[in-house]
Amino acid sequence: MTFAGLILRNLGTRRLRTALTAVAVAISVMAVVTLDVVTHSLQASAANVLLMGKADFIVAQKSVADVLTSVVTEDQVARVERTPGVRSAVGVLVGAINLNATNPFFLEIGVAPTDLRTFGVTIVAGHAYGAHAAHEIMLGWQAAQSLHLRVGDTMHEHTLEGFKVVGIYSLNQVFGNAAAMLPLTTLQARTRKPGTVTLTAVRVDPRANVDRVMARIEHDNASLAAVRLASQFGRVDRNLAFLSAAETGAQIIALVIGVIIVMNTMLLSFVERIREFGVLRAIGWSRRRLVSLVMGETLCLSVAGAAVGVAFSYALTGALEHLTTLRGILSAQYDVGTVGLGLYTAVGIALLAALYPCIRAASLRPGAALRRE
Amino acid sequence: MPSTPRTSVPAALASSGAADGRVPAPPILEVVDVHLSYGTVAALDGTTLSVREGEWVGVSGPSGSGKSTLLGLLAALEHPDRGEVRFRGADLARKRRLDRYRRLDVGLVFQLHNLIPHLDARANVEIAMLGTHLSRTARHRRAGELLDAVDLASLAGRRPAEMSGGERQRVAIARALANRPAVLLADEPTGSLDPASAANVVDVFTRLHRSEGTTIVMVTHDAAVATAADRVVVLEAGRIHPAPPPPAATAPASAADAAPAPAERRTG
Repeated sequence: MTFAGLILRNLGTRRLRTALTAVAVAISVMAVVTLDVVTHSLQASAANVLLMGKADFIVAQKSVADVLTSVVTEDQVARVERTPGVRSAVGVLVGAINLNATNPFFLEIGVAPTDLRTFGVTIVAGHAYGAHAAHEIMLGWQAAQSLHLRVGDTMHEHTLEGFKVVGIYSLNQVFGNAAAMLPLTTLQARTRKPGTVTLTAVRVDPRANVDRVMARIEHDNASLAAVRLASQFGRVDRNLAFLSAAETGAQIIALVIGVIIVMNTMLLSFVERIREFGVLRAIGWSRRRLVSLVMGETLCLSVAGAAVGVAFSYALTGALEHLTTLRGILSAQYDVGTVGLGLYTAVGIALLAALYPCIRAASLRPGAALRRE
Repeated sequence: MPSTPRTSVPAALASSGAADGRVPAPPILEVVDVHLSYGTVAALDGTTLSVREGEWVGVSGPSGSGKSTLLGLLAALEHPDRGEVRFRGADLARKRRLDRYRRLDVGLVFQLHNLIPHLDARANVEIAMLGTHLSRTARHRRAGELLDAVDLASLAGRRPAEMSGGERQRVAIARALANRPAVLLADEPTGSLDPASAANVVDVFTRLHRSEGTTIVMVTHDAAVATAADRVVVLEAGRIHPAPPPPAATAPASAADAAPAPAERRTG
């Protein structure tokens, strides 16, 4: 018999308790992992709205609740374009509509036809819309596939009814390819936002320092924020910052609950096994070995809990993706990092939960333990 | 202190000491004027006892007299409020690694065997060797040898619940011997057994003592069991008291070698 074998035998003896404790760890791990995956997915979705098109960075209104409510005037776009080092600044109006049951979060992107190339749009079929065409639309290739529409077809979805598909385009990312593009002035009129855009896609001269150009734009336009990294998006979309804060808070609560449950179980187990531990101490086990036994059992439980927790989380996010309100927004990604997060969480829970029982085990006096009935 | 090999000092020689003119074996365990209280209750009150290498000492006395407490002190499970407990002349209170002392120098047999219920007999013996330098194979082999020595080789795969009281106690003896201790400490090992099982267990101790010269300190209030020991000391109200006269007509020989102990009775 080995020490590891003893740990497994001890856990196997109390199967129900072992299973319930592992489930407690699993639920905590599931909560932490799911919150992390969902939050990052939602952040990625929000960031994707900002990342559409070819740009070194984007400029939007500072500290709005939702980036889609950002308002940048065309005068500000012009001022940004005049900033030293800026090569181009494309004003883009973005709106979201509930197109149908399968596309509850469908993006409409308003870009002037003269800016399409600069914005990074490649027309793969048909042609661009006219600058002021009231009923012409281009579809991203994924949207065209999803809606079963081709060039020359007319849309029947209620909010876009009557729009004629004049072209199919490709952008550099998924969100843009699953959207539709309209003339900027048309979308401004539809959304009653004349003279304004949501954001500005900025490209700088090759020799310019991007950070300096961003700083200059912010200096010259106090109400605007320039961002280019996902970590900076909270500056223009407060929801992202709130989402991160909520995620952290919820994860801490999940961890605390997990630690309390596991600690409670381990303490109960410790109290029940005091005499056994007393015997082990009496036959020469050191404090360190006894603590290792308690810690080893807790770690084994946690690793099992981590595996089950990540599996639970995967199943849960799979179900969440099918919710109408999250369809198209939530796209959970599980990778090695996700499994690592589950493992770290479980090990963290184990270490914290086993701390007090380990202290009790280390301070156990064998004589007193053996006198217990 | 590292474990030292058991001496092969014959029990009779060790216990008779200077009485026959030979140099007595040195004391391996000494209890010197020990006091220990649990709250206001004095469990030991100036107890003094010396055990020589290779000797089998029985500790007798009524319930609550402090027998188990004395054994707990010898096993370093308890610590005296006052006085000293010495192993090979060294005060246990000064030892930094008492777990090492409990693992290598003494082996402990409890009244209620105290085996781990979910482990089989072999694993219960092996568990005492975890953390020693022995390899897994060596631990496995030694456990088998020890179970064979207590006539339980065929029950190595059984759990305590599947064995009789006497068999469990013999597994506990095998566990106590796992690390070749210099002293075997037994706390009423036959106290919960029927006479036949008790006789089996006593037989194991007797064989160990006679064939290998194992030093044994055995707490018992069973007079029949006590007769197997080289000598018996009586503990009453936390103090060693004069033993009652032996049932046999032989004259007591305790006065010659009982310097540390106030009074004791010789047997065997």
